[in-house]
Order: sequence, then structure tokens, then C-alpha cells
Amino acid sequence: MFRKFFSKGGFSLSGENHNQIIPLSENLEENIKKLEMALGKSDDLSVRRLNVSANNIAIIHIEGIVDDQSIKENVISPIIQLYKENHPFKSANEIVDSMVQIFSVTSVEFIINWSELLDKILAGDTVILVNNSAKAITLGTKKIQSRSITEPTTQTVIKGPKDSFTENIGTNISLVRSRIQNAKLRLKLTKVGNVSKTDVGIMYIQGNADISIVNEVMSRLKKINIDSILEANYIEEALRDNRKTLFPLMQSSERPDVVAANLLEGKVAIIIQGTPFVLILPVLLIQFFQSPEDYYENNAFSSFLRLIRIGSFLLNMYASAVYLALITHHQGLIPTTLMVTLMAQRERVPFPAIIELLLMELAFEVLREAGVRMPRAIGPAVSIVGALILGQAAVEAGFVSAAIVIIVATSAINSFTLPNTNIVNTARGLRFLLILCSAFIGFYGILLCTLCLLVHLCSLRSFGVPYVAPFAPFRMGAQKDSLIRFPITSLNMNNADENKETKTK
Amino acid sequence: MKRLITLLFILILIPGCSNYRELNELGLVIAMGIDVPKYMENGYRVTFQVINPSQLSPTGSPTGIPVSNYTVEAETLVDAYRRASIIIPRYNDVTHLSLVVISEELARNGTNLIFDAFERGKQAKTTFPVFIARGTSAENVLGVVEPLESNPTKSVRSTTENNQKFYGISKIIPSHEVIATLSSEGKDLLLPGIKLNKKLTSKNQTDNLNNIKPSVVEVSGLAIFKKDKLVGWFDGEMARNANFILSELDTTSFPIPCEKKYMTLITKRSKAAIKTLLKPIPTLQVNIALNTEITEVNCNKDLTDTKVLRDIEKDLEKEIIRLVQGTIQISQSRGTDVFGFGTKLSIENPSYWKKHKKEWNTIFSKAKVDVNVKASINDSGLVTDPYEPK
Repeated sequence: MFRKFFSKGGFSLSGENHNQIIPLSENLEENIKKLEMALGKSDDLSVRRLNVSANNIAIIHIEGIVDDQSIKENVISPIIQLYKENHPFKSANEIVDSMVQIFSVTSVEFIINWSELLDKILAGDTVILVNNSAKAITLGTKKIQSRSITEPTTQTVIKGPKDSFTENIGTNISLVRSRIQNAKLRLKLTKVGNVSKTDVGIMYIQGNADISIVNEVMSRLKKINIDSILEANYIEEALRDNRKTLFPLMQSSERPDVVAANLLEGKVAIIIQGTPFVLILPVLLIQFFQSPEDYYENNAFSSFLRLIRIGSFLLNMYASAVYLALITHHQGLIPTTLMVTLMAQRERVPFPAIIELLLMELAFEVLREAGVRMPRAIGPAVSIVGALILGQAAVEAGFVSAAIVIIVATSAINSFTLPNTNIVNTARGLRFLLILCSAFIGFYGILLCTLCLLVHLCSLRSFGVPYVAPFAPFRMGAQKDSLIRFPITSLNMNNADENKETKTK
Repeated sequence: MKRLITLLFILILIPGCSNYRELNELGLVIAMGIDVPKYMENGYRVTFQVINPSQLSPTGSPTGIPVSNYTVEAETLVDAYRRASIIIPRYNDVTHLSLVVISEELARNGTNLIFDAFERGKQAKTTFPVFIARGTSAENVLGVVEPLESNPTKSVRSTTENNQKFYGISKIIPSHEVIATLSSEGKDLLLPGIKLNKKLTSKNQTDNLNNIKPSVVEVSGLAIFKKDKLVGWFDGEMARNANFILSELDTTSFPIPCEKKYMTLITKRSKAAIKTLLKPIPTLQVNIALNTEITEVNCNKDLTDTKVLRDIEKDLEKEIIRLVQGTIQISQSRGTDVFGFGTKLSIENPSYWKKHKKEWNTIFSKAKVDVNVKASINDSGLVTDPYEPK
């Protein structure tokens, strides 16, 4: 929605040409006026004028994104001190040069380019302009309000680290750095988004990660031509290999431990300012069934849970379709006793089975959407309406059969076992496709659909890595941590070479 | 996009080949009774037992009878099945057919190739058991609802299964086995019989449900076939013995006389091997080995004494020899080899079998019967001596 607003709104914010260098003027007032014009006389632009050895200087920043305390103590105080010393300076440029020495902030830079000046101010830096000098000083005084580190909300574990990423890229990078204290952990920062100019960081471990993937990510990031990056999905959609797939080709995680583990496996992480979700790539299908907790618990038990999750995923996709195929096409396959029970339930139901099933599936999707969207205070109300009205009352009134409610509830509850929500949405989409195929030609349809799905999966690549590896292509060594997890000591935790091996053209 | 449209187009076209059928449009045929026709010269009188699902609903108590019987007469079974649509209001589906009852009258006239339709047809499974309605019509047997097991089909099956496990008179013989036996050489067919233990007193079926001594379906013996014709019956104990010879017995009980009273032995694992000897005279040999357990003693015997136990074993062996010989003699008197001595011979001595298979039934009837039994008592129960009333 925002994207549309910006691109079709009649004016473009990204119209300025960044490649062309416009030098700063020597006249302070002219510079300030130009800046005010550029920002549309924005009220949060703060300009403080001071005087040093008869030269006017201006301290400029935007309120709210800077550290006021730091500006007061580390910028204004030294300048006032300088004013008091009444140092005889020969020229304005000499003032600029000597001023660099007196600021006690961590980063101080000279700039002479007009557009760079604008970018710095908008990023939260403080700029000092001196009359009669075309050089400006930028001071790193950025301070963006962010919430503190909390427990993850989407990827919870019982045992394991309880911290999660925040919306602040600096915090996020520090969370990863604190886990991998190694000189080989590399960070490359860039800005994406013509309007938003969002900070995007790429992290990888030199030596573990396939450098060609890193370069590929960098070049794809550079090619992104959209106005803003407000969430990780903007990058994900812009970067992925295949746009016509329901399967997620990148993993997003709000857990620093997951990102750290993936970096150690040779993956690349993309950290984006403004979202607590960090992208991990390349990704394999099997990764969506692996919970961080798998590595924090006994390996036998976590292998069992992993198998349960894969089973749940399949049930979530297939339960409704298989049930429909059985009761509408292949009645002979149902044990007689069960068949009689099912028939008894369906006796009074007025709708065909397919309508009945789609009704309930859609009702569940609506409930789920309502559950996400509604205010927390009325949450229990929706649960009651969902469970009682849609479940029990619909069955008692004879609108739907009890078996359908059981099937839909089964597939719903199974979707909640998966540690990653991306793949759940995939299964939700495919479920409807399978239901349709099943309604038309029963098990034959399900089989055909599954076959197409397998072919599609085998054709998918995530940054050149086959999506269904290590099953196709099959690699024996990697089976130790795919369907089941071997003890950590027997896993070769440095999988750096694997990505290279599996990379195909 | 083009591909997607093509796919959708195909999807819309294929339902023509599909077999879409809603559950509430189905009339599930769970049993078939085959009788000789009443009104026609040839053909069959076929009773279809169709489930009435609303009576079997898990919620709400049933108010009526869970099945309905529909009877039609037609020249062939499939014709009857098709014609039944004039009275059955739903698509009659035979995929769940789980019982076929053939009347004794029809079986005595010869079943001919009655099973062909089941084997040839694509719908019905050939795992359903076949029964003979003894002394009555299949229609009558299927027409009784019992209080304990209100579904007659299930009642027949579960009674048989129960008896098979507990005593061994009856057994489930699936139709594919019937067809296999009918088309094999040197072995004739045995089929379990069922009958009503008494006549239905009222025309109203639900009265039977309220009767404390309801008329129920009773498993009754094994029908002896000669080729496709029923020629006689093994009754009660004899039927049990027949299953014993065929090694198809789980457990059974043998009462052994002891001091004018009886004691009961339960067989646990029995194994019977049949053999056909030709020299010096054709002999039918049955070697039986069985393990038993003493479960009831109504006389005073010292069961701690191994010598006493040996004597009981001897008694049991004698008893079994007597029973088995009697059973085989019945088979011989009917001139039909239901135990498969001929099949065994054809495997052991194919050249002889080729020469004499035509007159096998006569050779079988005149053959000597030789039974060897090795019985052993493994267990005498939780107490040693029986209690003594004082």
C-alpha cells in the first residue's frame, strides 16, 4: 500500500540524482536555507547558531533521532569552550579542521557533498556548518528509540536462549556478534530503498560461507529498486530465485541463536533495520522442520519430535484431502464399522462433502485471521464463538458432520507444531489445492498433485542450492542432521563445504 | 498462465471419469442371501441386506432396526443386483459386502458357478465369508435381529469368530478360499452352517429385541460338499474334529471320563499332519501332536503323580483316535475327501495321482484310517488336588 502511494502519488521523493555531486556553498545562511527547503521547513529540524572567532557556525540535527545528551555534552560544550578561548583562527577552514579534534563523539567525518549531507542528517547525525567553508563536519550522534530485548514471540522454546532480535539493527548485530566472537564473522552494511534508505546488513563467516553466494546477495541487494524496506519480506520477495512458488526460499528468524547457528553452517544472514526478523539463506526445505530446541535437548527425543513435525506438516496438508477422497470416491477402503459411523453422521447433512469441507476449512481460516487481528481483550470471545458455534452447534444443527470438524481441527492443530510460520502458510495453500484435486478424482488426483509438487520441489533452488537437499541430490553425510539428529559430537558442525558441493548451475 | 488454464480445463473434464458419490446417497449392502426362487423357474432369490445408517448413529438412541432386507428374484446374481434398484432407494454399493449366505436347498441342488460374479466383478472384495443356511432359507437367517448384536451380519460373523476361537465347530471361510477349494483337485469343500435356534414368534422384528430368550442365529456344523453339491453335515463335535484334522483349531475342550465323572482338558497348541500311504493297502494317516491343560477335575485323582498324568494322556489319546476315526469315516461314507488327502497324495506321488485321480473318491472311501496321537499335559492348573467336601 505504501509502495503504491509513493510511486503513483504524482511526485517522487527519490527524484534527486545521487550520482551527481553538488558541492556545499560557502555561505552558511545559504546552506541552511537550502537545507530547510529540502526538508520542507520541517519543524523537527533543529538549527543552533553559535559564534567562534567571529565566524558563524550552525549545529544542525533532526530532533528525536539524535542523542540530545551527547550533543549537549560532546558537541555544544566544546564549541562554547572554543569560543571562550578566543583562539585566533586565520580562516574558516582552519576552524573546521581544528574543531574535529575537540568533539568527544565516536565518529567524526568531513563531507563536501550536498546529498551526503542530507542523508547524514536524516540518519541522525549532527552536522556542523561553518560560514565561509564548504566543508561540513558530521558527528555520529544517532540514537533511535527502540524497545528492549524481549523473549521471542513467534519462535518460542522451552529450553534455550530467551532473547530475540529487536527493530534496531545495531542491537541485532551485537546479539549475533556476542555469540560468535570470531574475526572471521563479517558484516557488510548497505542501504536499500530509494525513499526509506533502510540500513541492511549482510553477515557471514569468512571461510564457512560460499563467497559467491555472498557476492550474489550483494549484487541482488544493489539491484533492488523499490522505495522502501519496512520488513524482511520486502527483501525476501525482491531477492528470491523463483517468484512462482508457494515455498519459502528464505528462512526468517527472530532468534539470535538460530542466526548464529546458521552462520556457522555457512549460511548468510540479512539483518534489516526496523524489523526483528532476520533473513537466512540459502535455505533447505528440511530446515523448516528443525527447531532450535532440537539441539538443546537429548538427540533421541529431538529426533522423535522432528519426525512428529514432519508428520504434522503432511497431515496438515493431506488430512482433509484424504478424508474427502475416502468418503466420496473410495468408500471400499474404509473399514466397514467406521464406514457405518461416517454414514450415520452424514445422514442429515444437506451439503455435498466438498462444500462441507471447504466451508469448515474457510471458517477455520477466518477464525485464525480473526485471532491474529483482533484486540487481545476479546480473544477469549472469539475462541468461544469458534469452538462452540462453529464446532459444536454446526454439528448439532446438522450443518456439518462431526467427522469433518475432527478432520479440520486435526489439520489445524497439526499446523501449530511447526517451528517456522513460513512453511505453515505454504501448507495452508497447498491444502486447498489438494482438496480440489481430491474432490475431482479422489486419490488419483491427490497422487497427481503430489507428483507435480515433488517435481516442483526438485526444481526449486535457493541461491543455487537445491531446495530438497540432502534427499535430492542424496548425500549420505548430511542425513545425520536431516530427518533425525545424531548426537552433536558426531555431527560435523562445520558444513561449510556442503553449500559449495550442492551448488549447481 | 496458459499451462494453468490447460490444467484447470483438464481438471474440469476428468470428473466425468470419477466415481464421486456422497455417503448419504449410498445403500451399503453388507450381506447377501441366496435362495432358490419362489416364483421363477430358474435363477435365484437374492436378499440384499442394506445398512440403515441413521439407526447406527453414535448420538441418539436407535429407534428401529439398523438394517433393511430387500429381496428380488432374477436369473443371475448381477441381474438381481441391478434389478434390486427397483426397491432399494439408494445406490447399492457392494464394496463392503461382508457375508454371503446360501440356503441349504440351493446348495443341495448344486451351487454351480455362483461365485463367478463376485470374482469377476470389480466392486466386491472376495474376502467375505460364505455360510450355508441350514434347514432354512438365507432370507430367514438374515431376517433376524438380535438384542446383543443388532446388526445381523455382524452377529453371524462375530458368533462364528467367537466359536472358532473358543471351541472350533465353525470357521470363517472367505469366498476366495471357497473358489480355490472348488477348483482344486483332491480336496472337497467344507462350509460352516448357520441356523435359527428357534422360529421367530412374532412377525414384528422389534419383538425379538425385547425378548429375554430371543431367537438367535446359531452356528451349526460344517456342510460337506461333493464338488459343488452339499451332501451332508458334520455336526457339533464332528465338525470340531474336522477342524482338528485340518489343523485349524485354536483351542477346544475334551471331556475325559474319570471314575464315572469327567475331567476337562483344553488343547493349547495342536498340530495335525495328514499323509496318504499306498502300500500295502491305501491308508489315510493322521498324526496329531497336541499340548493340553487340565482345567477341571470332577473326580479324585492325584495330579502330582506323573504316572496318573501319563494315564490321562493315554485316555485322551484313545478318545481323540476314536473321534478322529469317526469323523473321517463320515467323510468316507459320503465319498468326499474334505480333508485333502488327495491333494497331499498328488504332491507326494504325482504319477500315481495322475493315473488314479478319477477313481480317487472310491479309493478314499475304502481306505484304511490310521490315527496316531501324541498328547502331553503341560499344566494342571493352579491347584494340585481337587478339594474334598467333608
